[in-house]
Amino acid sequence: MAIIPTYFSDYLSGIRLTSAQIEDCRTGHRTLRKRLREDPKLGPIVVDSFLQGSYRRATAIRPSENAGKLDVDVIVVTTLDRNAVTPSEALDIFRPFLNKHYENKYKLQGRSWKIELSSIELDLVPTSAPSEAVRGLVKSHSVTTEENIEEALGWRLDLDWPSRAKPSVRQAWDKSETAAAQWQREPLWIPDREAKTWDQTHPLAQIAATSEKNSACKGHFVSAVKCIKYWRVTREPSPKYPKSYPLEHLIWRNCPDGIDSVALGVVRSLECICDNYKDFVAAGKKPSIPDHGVPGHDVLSRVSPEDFVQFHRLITDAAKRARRAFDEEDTKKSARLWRDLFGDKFPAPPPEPGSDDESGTPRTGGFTPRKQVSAIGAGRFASG
Amino acid sequence: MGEMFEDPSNSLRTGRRALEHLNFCQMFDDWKWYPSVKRWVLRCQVCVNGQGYIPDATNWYVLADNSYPWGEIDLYPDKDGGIECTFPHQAYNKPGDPKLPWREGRICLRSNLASLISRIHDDEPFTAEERLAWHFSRTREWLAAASQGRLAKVGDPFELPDFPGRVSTIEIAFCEDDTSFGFWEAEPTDWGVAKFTHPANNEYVLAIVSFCNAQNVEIKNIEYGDAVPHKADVIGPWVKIPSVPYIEPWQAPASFGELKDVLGRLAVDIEQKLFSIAGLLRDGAHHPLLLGFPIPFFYGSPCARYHWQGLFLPKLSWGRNDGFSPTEKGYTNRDRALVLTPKTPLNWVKSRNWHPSEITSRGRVSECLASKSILVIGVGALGSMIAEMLARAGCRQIALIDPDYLEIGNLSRHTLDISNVGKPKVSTVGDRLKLLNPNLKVAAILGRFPPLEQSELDSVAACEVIIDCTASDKVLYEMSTFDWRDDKSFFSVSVGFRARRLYVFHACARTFPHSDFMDRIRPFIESESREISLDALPREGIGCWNPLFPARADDLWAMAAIAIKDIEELLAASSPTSVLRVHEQEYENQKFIGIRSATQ
Repeated sequence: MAIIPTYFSDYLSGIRLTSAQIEDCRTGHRTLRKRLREDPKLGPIVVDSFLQGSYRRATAIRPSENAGKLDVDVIVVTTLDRNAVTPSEALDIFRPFLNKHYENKYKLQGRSWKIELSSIELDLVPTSAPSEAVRGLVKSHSVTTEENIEEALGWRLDLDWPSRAKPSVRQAWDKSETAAAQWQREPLWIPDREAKTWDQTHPLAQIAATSEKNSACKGHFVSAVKCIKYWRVTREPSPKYPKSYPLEHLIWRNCPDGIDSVALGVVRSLECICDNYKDFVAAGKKPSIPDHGVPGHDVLSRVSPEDFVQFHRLITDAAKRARRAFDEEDTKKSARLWRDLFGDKFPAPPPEPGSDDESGTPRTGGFTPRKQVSAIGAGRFASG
Repeated sequence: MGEMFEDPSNSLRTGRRALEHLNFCQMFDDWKWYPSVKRWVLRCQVCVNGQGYIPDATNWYVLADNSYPWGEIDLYPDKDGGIECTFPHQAYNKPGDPKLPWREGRICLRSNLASLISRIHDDEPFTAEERLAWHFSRTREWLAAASQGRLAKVGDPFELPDFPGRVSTIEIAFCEDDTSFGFWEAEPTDWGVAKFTHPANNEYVLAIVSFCNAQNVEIKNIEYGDAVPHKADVIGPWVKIPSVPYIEPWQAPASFGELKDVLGRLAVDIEQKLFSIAGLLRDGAHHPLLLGFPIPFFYGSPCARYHWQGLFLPKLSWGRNDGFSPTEKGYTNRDRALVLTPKTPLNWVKSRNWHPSEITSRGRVSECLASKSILVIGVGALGSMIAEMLARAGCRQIALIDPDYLEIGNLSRHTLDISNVGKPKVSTVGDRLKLLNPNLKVAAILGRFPPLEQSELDSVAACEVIIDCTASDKVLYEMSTFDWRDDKSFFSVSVGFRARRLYVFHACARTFPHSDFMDRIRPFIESESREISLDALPREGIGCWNPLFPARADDLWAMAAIAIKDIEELLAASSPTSVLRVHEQEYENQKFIGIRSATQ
């Protein structure tokens, strides 16, 4: 069984966001936040803003060259009363601000404003007023920090982070009502302009759930998500859905706790997705998957049953290939099998000497006689 | 400079991915940049079949340069889970810098010893995939050999343990060969006072010139050459011990306590000997202590040489000290309590055998030539080059004769420098030669050949090999009429126009065979004189018209070097008939393509 962690580590360094992209996300958000705070009209009604989405959950993958710019989601929590303000009005309130700071660079969408910066696109999603308790939490460092959950050591969602270690979120649920615990029950409301209604969303629950899972998997969960997401986008892009967050959520639901390597995380996630929805697929149906914090939302709402069936077939095939790669004892063969699955971004093993593999020979001691001398120095002298 | 590197390069990543395919090696983390040592560092575990001093699994830090696969790669034992003792082919394995997680016992993986190579001999590869893995494979071999006590295998060249010291610039020189080995083995006196001198006033070297017993009576005098004067700049105790002082497996004692234990096991009471003569050493200076022991050339062979390993003693008590009486007894008590305590670290000094057979290993002429007394007549350009090469290559007695003074124009192809302009060539060349070879004795005679003084005549006639480098017919004539008193090996070395040709003449005779030489060389000279009539000869300066012979330093050095080879070979052959060897530069379309023999 070969887990070849350095191969996965190098693969991930090629598919996750670059440090330049991360810096752009942070700068983009930081600038926006500052401008909002200083704006005479918006300043008074904006509680705070924070980064959400795959960037924040450390599950973002590098966009491919033709995929356009990196999308970064920003939630702007306001004091607007959703009973007094329509979704359209709520969005419109930002127009003068956008004109002033992002002229010709913004576009209205169904639930958000898209702001185009040089290398990223900010998706500005306003919310209505939450309760006092949640307002307090939103302003806390655990929410407004720019670090994603992989970077922020010991991250947890409460008012005191990053002070000394506190009980986990799950344990906090069991405690009596505290300001920090109330946020669980309270999603945020965001405008749906087309439907003319306010919708619920719970990015904090998504972030917290991902963080918990990642801790339970020794940090390998988000890595497994990135590997599978990148595979889906580059190797099996059809059918179009499910991808992005729905795919990530499926992995969250199916990846077992306690995995101790990225390789195992990938194999087991794929296998469990395959096993757990076999019956649905056999009946030509798709499961409904409640989202974190907003159980009424079905993560797979946008996915047709036909697409899900096709998707399930891809996963089943990938699961078999991943299992073969994982079970392979010979580390070089294993690397090659993973590379067959993931593509060229996954590093290639060093070449074998000669064309035939030595049959029955387990991983060798490492020295392979070379045909040509690639060394210098053995036969040249000049000093001493 | 403070260069910071964020991420390891692709080459470094490739290198450590290759480690995944070694079943005996496991990585703990990824590459980490250590700014304090400016290296990339990786922590790994290597597994072998544990035995002896080596457990099944040992932890290591490997340090690589940012320029990997180029640059240096070194393996050090982890302070946590790594080997703690010192083995052969390993630097002294002390804990070292407390801020670093590895010990200082870097292992040596590059020797081409049979014990380290279980497969066919292979050179270190320099590709990203192979180089790091090669080091780990070698480390495993090293560990396997260490566990079975095979690092020092019978037949391998013998190596001393690494004796750690604080001062790396000072060196102790001694002179030992098989004759002196016999002396020491038989000599009953096994300790006393040694005398040292600074050769050529070099304060970084202490050469042992004399061994005396405890009563200061000399039992052995050491002779080097002229560069090592026989005066005592420094004294220190010497002790002969039965064998290499070490702690298993191959660790030098590092404290006075360890030294006492190790020597105690060899039945040597170092303290008793030291304090017997300590009275001579109480002057506030650091005195060198010498430990002499026999060593073999190869493991498993009988001992053949004595090695004198030095260490600098701390300053022994002297003058007035609180709490101790200013008597020998008081000083000794203070030394035992404060100066030479069990925990006192030892300051070992690099110690080297300066015997000619040891120091000319990089390149020497045959003993046949080196053992002869040589006279070089004329130390102009060619003569100075020939004399220099003979000196460096191990000749031990050279006499020089030349009447000239160095001029600035000589420098373009001489071995001397600006500081010697205006001085006699012979004395300045002679002084320079002494600095090149500590075992060389030089006699410099200012004047034309033949000399006039009786002592100089005696010196000249005593030489066995005579090398004329004057290109002067007058000198050759004098050489043919001089009373040499015995058969000599004569050489005459000169070059043709622009040093395009080299003429090396040899004859074994009672006097120099002048007419024989002329007969042999005439055809070449005549043919050359036809070639050069078109070239204008250069001049120098204003004054008496004196044509210079044009030849650059590179042309002359090439010819001088060939002359050395011919001299060595012809001397060994000792043909009864005279020989002229001619070598000439080859040109093709006016481009230099080499030097070939014109007489073979």
